[in-house]
Amino acid sequence: MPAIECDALSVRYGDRPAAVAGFQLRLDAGEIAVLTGESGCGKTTLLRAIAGVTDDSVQVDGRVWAARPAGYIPQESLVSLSPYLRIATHFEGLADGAHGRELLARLGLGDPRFPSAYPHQLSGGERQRVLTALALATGPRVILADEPTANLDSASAESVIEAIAEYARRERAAVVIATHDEDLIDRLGCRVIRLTPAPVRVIAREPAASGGPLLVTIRDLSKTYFRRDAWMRLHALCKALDGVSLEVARGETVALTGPSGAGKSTLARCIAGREPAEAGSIEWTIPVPVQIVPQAPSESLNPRATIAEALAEARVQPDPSLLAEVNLPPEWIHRATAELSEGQRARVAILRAAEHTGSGMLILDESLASLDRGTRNDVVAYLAGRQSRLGTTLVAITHDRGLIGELGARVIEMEDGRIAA
Amino acid sequence: MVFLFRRFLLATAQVLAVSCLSFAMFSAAAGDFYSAATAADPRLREGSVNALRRRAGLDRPLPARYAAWLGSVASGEFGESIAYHLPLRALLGPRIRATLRVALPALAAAWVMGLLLAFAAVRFGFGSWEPGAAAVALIPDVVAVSLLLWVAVWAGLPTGTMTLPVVALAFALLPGIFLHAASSLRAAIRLEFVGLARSRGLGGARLWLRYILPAAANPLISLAALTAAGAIGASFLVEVITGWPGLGPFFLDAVQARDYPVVQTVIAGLAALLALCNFAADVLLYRLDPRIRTPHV
Repeated sequence: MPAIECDALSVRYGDRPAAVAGFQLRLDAGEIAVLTGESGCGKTTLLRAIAGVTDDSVQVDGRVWAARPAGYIPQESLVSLSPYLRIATHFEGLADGAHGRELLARLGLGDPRFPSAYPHQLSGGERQRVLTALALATGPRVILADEPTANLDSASAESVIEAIAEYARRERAAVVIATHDEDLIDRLGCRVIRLTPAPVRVIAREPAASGGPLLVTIRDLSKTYFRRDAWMRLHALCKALDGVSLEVARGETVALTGPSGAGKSTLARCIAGREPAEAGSIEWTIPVPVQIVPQAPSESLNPRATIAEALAEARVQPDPSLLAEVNLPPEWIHRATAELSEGQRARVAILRAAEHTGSGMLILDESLASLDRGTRNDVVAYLAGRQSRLGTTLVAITHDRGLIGELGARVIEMEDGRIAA
Repeated sequence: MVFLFRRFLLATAQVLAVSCLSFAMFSAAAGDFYSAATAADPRLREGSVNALRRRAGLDRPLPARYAAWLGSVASGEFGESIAYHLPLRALLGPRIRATLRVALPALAAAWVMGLLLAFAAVRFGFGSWEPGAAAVALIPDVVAVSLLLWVAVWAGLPTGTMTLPVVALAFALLPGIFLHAASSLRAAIRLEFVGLARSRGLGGARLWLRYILPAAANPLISLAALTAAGAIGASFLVEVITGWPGLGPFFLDAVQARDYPVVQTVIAGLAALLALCNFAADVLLYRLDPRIRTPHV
């Protein structure tokens, strides 16, 4: 008995070209399938169309049918839970209190503080698991999960997948999981629906030649953060940098690693001149432009601006051929950035920062951490190409060993505001 | 709490600044109560007018007069009217009550109707009301109230009662409230978490009360504070046009007679009311939004 049937399904936003076209799927009760493909290829659009989570701006053509109720698990964002309601209140009308707590417990949120917490008091991964529990609480006959493990450590990811799979077995629910996680796909060993096969690119680089001309010398840099109380008096909060000394050569790639709170981002902001240090010095051999790409690169874009306008804002000539550098179609130059997927926006934001920097210094503050594999590979290839061509200096704040290897970076380990020996 | 404390200090500073500024402005204007009186009655002689000025303290320097006024406010007398030779407390009381008898029912009626209409417009998709309401909102209050008065006279309705000013004021406030409430609700139902709650099968009263209204309330609370203070100001106008014996005509007389202590106290009172309403809105927002009230982890 089919639980999901799609035939010649097309979904478009307004009068744009279809985001999904001619999609076919038949999934029986109890069956699990993985939906994969590069970011921006329409996975979220497809899941929302099947789940019926659409608004006036979305036009769905063709046949789409799914058994109801459908449990849609969105990719977590700050707006996917009501900021005004406690977690337990979100379960009202779906499941009784005990069942809700049991679902949360099964997903590793058994601590009694979780039901009475507000969404903003949880981490992204915890909110993602709450969304999973909410979808399961509706007693769905089909589950549509959009990257349910993207923000999770491996143990939590395991509990989420296990909870979904166990529910599907017990209730004979059909499941579609959209993911980029190749390990997860291998492990589920189920049907794989590939929306657009992502081209696999092998990136191999020699470690950057060190000993280039000195670009910047940092000596004994210190920085303390303060907080003001009601009487406007200052209180020291923490010592973010405590005597950091560092030399970076032109064209070099440096990776800053270390636990969170070690002072990596503060160091980056001081180097970029975004924040004054309270002691120590930063001396540039030659003045160069310095840009920081933030953790969520796409958030630096004004959603109302087109790609061309976004580039022009940073005094980058909006040349359509630039888009090809980050694997975007050149004819998209006049599209609004709001119409792009998360990964495509990240490409634009990084392209803009890098082009603006020219041969200067580009600082990536965990900027690649949230990107899907296809986007990340394209961005790394683009940055590496620029570096060998123009001698750009790259500073990457990252925990990702794989990325450090791909970039061929010199690793600087930080701890408690110092550089660990 | 630090947040509320700061807001309170800010509100106090605002009221003091407004009173200071208006005091300076009226002092800079040419003439005073007695020059207006002299112009009205040429038999008054320069010497006796100056004696009267001295008695009212008008010959003293500006800072001294401001300090005297502040002291009088602090003592609860709120200054003394030059025209009536009476502390304002005695004069203002009945007039404030008359104004509130018009402003409060009108405000309540405008909000109840505005919210119900907005809910109907958004829930049942009567979106075509909104351009009409926007057009009505553009009509100046004076014109709208005069028109209403004309209709009442034409229809032979009693014009001396409370009904006319209340209805007039409510209709002056209604379109703005309706438009803001409708756009807040419309924005709220488009929020991601509302769509997701609906996809979990929630609907009806639970969806509206739990998910949509709290999300729409935030801008409306700030608007409520503004309309509450604005209703008193708009009421002045309505009272003058309909001849209702509230603060409005009294204030107008005081301005025309240059009875500046009265003008001064009423303006400072309005500023204090606006600051108080805004502060109340801040307290309410603080209570309602867990993101401000509870610690971030």
